[in-house]
Amino acid sequence: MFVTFTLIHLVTILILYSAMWATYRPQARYRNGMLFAVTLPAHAMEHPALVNIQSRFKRQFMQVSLWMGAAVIPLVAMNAWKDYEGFSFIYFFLWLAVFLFVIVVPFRRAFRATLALKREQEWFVGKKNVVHSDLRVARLKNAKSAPIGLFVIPLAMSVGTLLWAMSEDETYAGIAYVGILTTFVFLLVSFYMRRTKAKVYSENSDINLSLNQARRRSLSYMWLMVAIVENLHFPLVYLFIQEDNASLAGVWLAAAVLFSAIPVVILILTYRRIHAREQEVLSQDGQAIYSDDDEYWANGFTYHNPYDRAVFVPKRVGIGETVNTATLTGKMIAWGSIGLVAATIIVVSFLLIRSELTSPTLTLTADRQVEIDYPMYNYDFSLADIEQLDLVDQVPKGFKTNGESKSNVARGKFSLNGLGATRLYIYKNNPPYIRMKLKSTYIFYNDQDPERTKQLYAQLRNSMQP
Amino acid sequence: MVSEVRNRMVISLQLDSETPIYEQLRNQIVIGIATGQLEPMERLPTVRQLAEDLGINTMTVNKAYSLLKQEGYIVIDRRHGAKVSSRASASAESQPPARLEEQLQLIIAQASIHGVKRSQFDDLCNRIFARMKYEPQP
Repeated sequence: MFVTFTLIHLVTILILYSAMWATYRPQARYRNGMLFAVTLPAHAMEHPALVNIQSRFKRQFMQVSLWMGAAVIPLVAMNAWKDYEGFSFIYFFLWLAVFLFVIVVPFRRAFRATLALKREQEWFVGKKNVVHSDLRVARLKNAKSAPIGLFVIPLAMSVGTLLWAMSEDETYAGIAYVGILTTFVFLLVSFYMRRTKAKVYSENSDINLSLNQARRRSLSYMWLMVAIVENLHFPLVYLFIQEDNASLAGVWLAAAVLFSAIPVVILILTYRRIHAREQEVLSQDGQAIYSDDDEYWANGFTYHNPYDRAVFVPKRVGIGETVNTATLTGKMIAWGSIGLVAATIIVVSFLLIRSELTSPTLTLTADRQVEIDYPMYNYDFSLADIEQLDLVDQVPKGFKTNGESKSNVARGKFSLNGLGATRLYIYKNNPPYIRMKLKSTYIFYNDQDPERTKQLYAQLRNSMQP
Repeated sequence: MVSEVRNRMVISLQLDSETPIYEQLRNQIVIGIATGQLEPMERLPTVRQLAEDLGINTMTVNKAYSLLKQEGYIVIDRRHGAKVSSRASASAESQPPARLEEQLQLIIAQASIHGVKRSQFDDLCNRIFARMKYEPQP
């Protein structure tokens, strides 16, 4: 279990570090006419104060990375210490929150310093509060994009998965519904991307047209491809859940990693290709059009412009689009996302803590009912429903379908090798276990104290005598 | 200096200007037609497309288009959207636009107060006329 938890935590932390380093570290270089997300004219780079800002940022960024890295050590220690295992997730969430907050501090400092210097030196790049539109491009920007109708392919795939799931075993059909929902999300993204503003690269309308059309073409086919790739994933997940084979877990893990990594790779490659194309075309054409928007990019990476009705605008930091928090939709998306993450973390933390502090109880009532009490996994049945009652020393291996599984306990619904659907309320590696076979499920139950388990078993046995 | 690049039809609107946005839009389209950057019968983006592309309200673009249509610079076809008027229809009226003298009087009055000489003014007019590539049908 130590390995599992550490893997979960470390992989997440590694992904976070990679994303932050790939996104924020390069901001220290002058690219796309910007330094630290502040638009600057090229000649401004010769100013000595900027070199100080750059080196201070690099130093601070490295320091924060190292300190947060050191803060991971207590997490690993908690994972190794069985008594604190459940609480290690609480520490993990805390670490995540702190990390996300402090890792952007060096960037925000550098952004403000650069902006202050820009204002002081009056390095304006274009006029403020000016919007541009190339008329031809406004009309034809989506002409070369993938027709929205092509989404019928991934939609058909996800509906097909649903029909197949319904015909096999309805219990897990939820996976197929998620597949349909995900496909719809990609469809919506593709649809709204068509309505975003065209970028006015230069005064040459031919260049504007070809670059905008090429960009939208690349992105629209990219979203289609990602939707299709993910629709291959969902049936595989469903298949794995269906199979009673826990040994395939390695295969499933590999598939999960792949199907998360493939869309990311597709996205990064597509955006890089778009960017390279832009650079190549624009380097030959010297008529760029500038507009100075800095005041609306308050933190460098957030956009708040009450004069702009657009909800999605291209990011200044990173790839993709960000929301305009001055619009109602933008606010809902921004706060909704944060709210969703916060709610998830709070709920999961609560469940984890409660699980640490509560134990299942098995009661035999006067009217020959067996009541197993445990939050969210209560189960009551009649003594007469027990087809077979045993005291065993081992619990077969399997995997969890809906419940809690830690290194010392397992509670909830599982699927075990050879037995199928099973409900577990056990302390692991703590024989004996009471095994009950009911018509639709098996149940394994034990107490932390083996003597108590034996007593409970005897009680059940006696009660079952006619 | 005005660049002689063909195909330069970029609208630039100053959002915090004293001139209302719809008026800036209308003016730039008119100048675009006169300088040949927008050709007769050329299609224009729809109200929604243009509003989205500029990040402004559709009502503002609608107002500009209505004004242009009223003045005869563009026509709005229900199927194809907005189009620059053909040469024939635009020059149907041989009279100069209604307020031409009124507008010129204001401009010339301001210019003369600022000490602009007649010859300077004429030079300026010649330069500007030279940019106007629009040829009405004879």
